[in-house]
Amino acid sequence: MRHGRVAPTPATTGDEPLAAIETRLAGEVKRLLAAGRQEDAAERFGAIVDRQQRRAARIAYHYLRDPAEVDEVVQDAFLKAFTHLPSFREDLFFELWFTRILVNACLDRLKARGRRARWMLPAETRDGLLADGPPSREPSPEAVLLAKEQRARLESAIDRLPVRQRTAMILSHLEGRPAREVGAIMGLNESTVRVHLFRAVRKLRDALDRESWTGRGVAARPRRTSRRA
Amino acid sequence: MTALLRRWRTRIGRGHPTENRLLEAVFGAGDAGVAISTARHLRECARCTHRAAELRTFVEALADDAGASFDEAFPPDRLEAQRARIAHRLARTVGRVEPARVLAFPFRRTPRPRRDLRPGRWAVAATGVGLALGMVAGQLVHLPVNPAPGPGAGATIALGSDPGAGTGVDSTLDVTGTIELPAASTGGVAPAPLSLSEFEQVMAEAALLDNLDIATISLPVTELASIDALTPRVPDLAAAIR
Repeated sequence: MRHGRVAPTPATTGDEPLAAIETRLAGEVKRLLAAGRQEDAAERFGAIVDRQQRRAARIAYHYLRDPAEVDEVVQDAFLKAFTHLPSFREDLFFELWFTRILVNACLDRLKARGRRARWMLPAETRDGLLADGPPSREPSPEAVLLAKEQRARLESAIDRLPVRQRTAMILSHLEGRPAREVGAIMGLNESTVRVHLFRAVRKLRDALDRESWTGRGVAARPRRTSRRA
Repeated sequence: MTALLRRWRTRIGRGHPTENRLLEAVFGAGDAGVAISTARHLRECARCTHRAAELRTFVEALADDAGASFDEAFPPDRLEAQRARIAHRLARTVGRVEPARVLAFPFRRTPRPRRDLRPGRWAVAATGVGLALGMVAGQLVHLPVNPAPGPGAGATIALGSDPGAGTGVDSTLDVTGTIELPAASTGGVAPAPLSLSEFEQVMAEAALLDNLDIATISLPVTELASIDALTPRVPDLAAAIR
């Protein structure tokens, strides 16, 4: 599924000044490109990259789970946004426009991976990759192992979701975007996004062990104040 | 049908919303009227409020775990490296950085100018090389084989002893009574050793021949004078021919 063009979400009516800043920066880059000042435009675009890179990498990671592929997709998405910036409409939020480019790139990657999987044998399992990761801040090895298993189950459950439900889940709950923005990115209205979200959570809840998730005590982990970059 | 009845009994009979209703209420999905009634019920029912809180905890735990997984996979240095690559590609896009030179593969050997080697030069060079090889080979073939030095190298034959005990010796007779035979030139079979009587006989014959030579050269032989007179002389024959 590719998220196509949707009804515009006016940047001026949004109540998020942070997103408006990126939209203003994107407008400046667009004007610099139109004036033929390519190098100045690239430097100005670097400010957008600084603000959006971590969020973009996180979204791509939720889709792909492979850091190397995430690197490539994020780079490609930024380059594509830069080269297509002359066609960017300044009455839209740049963040939503860029997120749509990024999500479509991730979905393309997943399709390509699926095509490759038909012809190639898996080189190593996901468990092996997780076991080689950097050490966690958890105190005991048992807790570390438990947390990794838990994350592997969560990632596996999210990967099994249909594309729309997965996108709604990633953008809304994992990235903390409001349903209205998720709808703008996905090309759906807000209530449809909520339905996809509801179905996704229900499937995840069925797939995961309820006791192990709800009974493990959220207080054991530090709360995340904000999921935004 | 049975499931529907059970669900209806659960929802209507007891008055508590199902988990799906709670999820819809948490996410704001579903019918607005149902959401309002569920919210009203949550305000009155502590048990369902606890269930709704549990659902919210579940959803937040999902986000927390997904975020922790990303933090492990993408430490700050990795993000910094990614940022540098994006900047580099941007610079290359606007032409600020020259693209890397691509080496041709497979490699093409550049044609070198061929030297003009005529057949005559080849023949001269081959002849020279052949001569040099022949000289070296000849030296190798004619190298003298040096007998291993040692106490038996200059073997002597003691008088009255077995002459076969020695090998190569000089041809001198010293006061010690030993006869040294000529040294063998090669490593072949050594000449048969001579006994003392045989050696004396050889020496006597040699002395007789020496005396005859001296006599024919220095002393006049009258017995042969008549024969000499009959023999024509070369100068006379030459004058007659002329």
